Amino acid sequence: MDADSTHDVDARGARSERLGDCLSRAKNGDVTALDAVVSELNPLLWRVARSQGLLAEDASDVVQTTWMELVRHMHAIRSPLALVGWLVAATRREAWRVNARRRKATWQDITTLDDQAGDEPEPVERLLTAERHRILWRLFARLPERCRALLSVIAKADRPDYAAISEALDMPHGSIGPTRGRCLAKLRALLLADPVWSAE
Amino acid sequence: MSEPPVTGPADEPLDAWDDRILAELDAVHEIVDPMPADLDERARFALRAGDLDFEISRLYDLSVAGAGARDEETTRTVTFESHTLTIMVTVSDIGGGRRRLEGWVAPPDEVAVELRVGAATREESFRVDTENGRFVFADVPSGLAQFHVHRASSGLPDITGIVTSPIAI
Repeated sequence: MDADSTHDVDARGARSERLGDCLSRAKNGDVTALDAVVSELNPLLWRVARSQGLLAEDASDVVQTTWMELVRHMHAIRSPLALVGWLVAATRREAWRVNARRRKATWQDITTLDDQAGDEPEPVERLLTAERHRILWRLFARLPERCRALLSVIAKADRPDYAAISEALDMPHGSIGPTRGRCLAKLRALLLADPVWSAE
Repeated sequence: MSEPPVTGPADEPLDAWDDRILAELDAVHEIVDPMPADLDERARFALRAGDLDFEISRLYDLSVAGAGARDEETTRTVTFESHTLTIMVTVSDIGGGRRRLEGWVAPPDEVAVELRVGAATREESFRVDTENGRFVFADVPSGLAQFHVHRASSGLPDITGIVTSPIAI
């Protein structure tokens, strides 16, 4: 094991310990102990809600509701690893409720700035000033929807959580972590075939 | 359906290139779809809802009911829904960072409506009782807002109640 990965393992161990400590303080009645958990995991839950095709206002509401649900169910959650999986699954479940009664946002909605009040939606690509980012976004868009949902969430996660998150998203076992899985393998192959990406 | 064991790139362990792809994918998402800046505050406010035995009423619809000539005259209608109750609230901006809230619960019932408004670290609370489900908070601060509806008819008002997910008013 090289120095870098030893460092990573230490950092992850520390994070896991921190989350576990917050969780047990919250279980003992100090709900403010979850504030740190919110800072740490909200970006991940936002990504989960958006990956399920929710528009921004619905996604925010779904994330809030998930935290309210956590307070009710945290006594059944035993470990920090289980906490991440539980939150991802709960966010997805909440997103389902919304999707069940709304038209599901299309990929087109997500790739244009749906919250902008202007007349013409601005293509997302215009925001990406780096060429490698524009290429990545374009190739990413070619993946099947389930792969996009998985990878957009995994990109925000820590490696030890990959398998639990993949499971919480109801992806087949081995979709990602510890092996690469098909979705990432496909994106990787597309990028390797691209002159800009393969040159780096 | 059982598939033959896959051998090939998908079966290899994650390497540094994969980490780089995922890091760049994260960077791209941060640019095109960043998390709203107020989401942490909203989540913390939601965590402080307190009553765990309440049924959660989720945001159902949020619409701008009509914008007046000035921004202050904007009103919005927000609908929350749970299994047992629908709550509709019209939010009007009355200037000076204050709001007037008019709402009703359906089916109509004798309820007490409690409003938490503010932020996770400083909040105020207001309460009105109603016999027909209609309620008014004539002048309350702007901020994050959450409604608790206590049902008087059950005789156990703190057991059968509804709490809404927080909204910004």
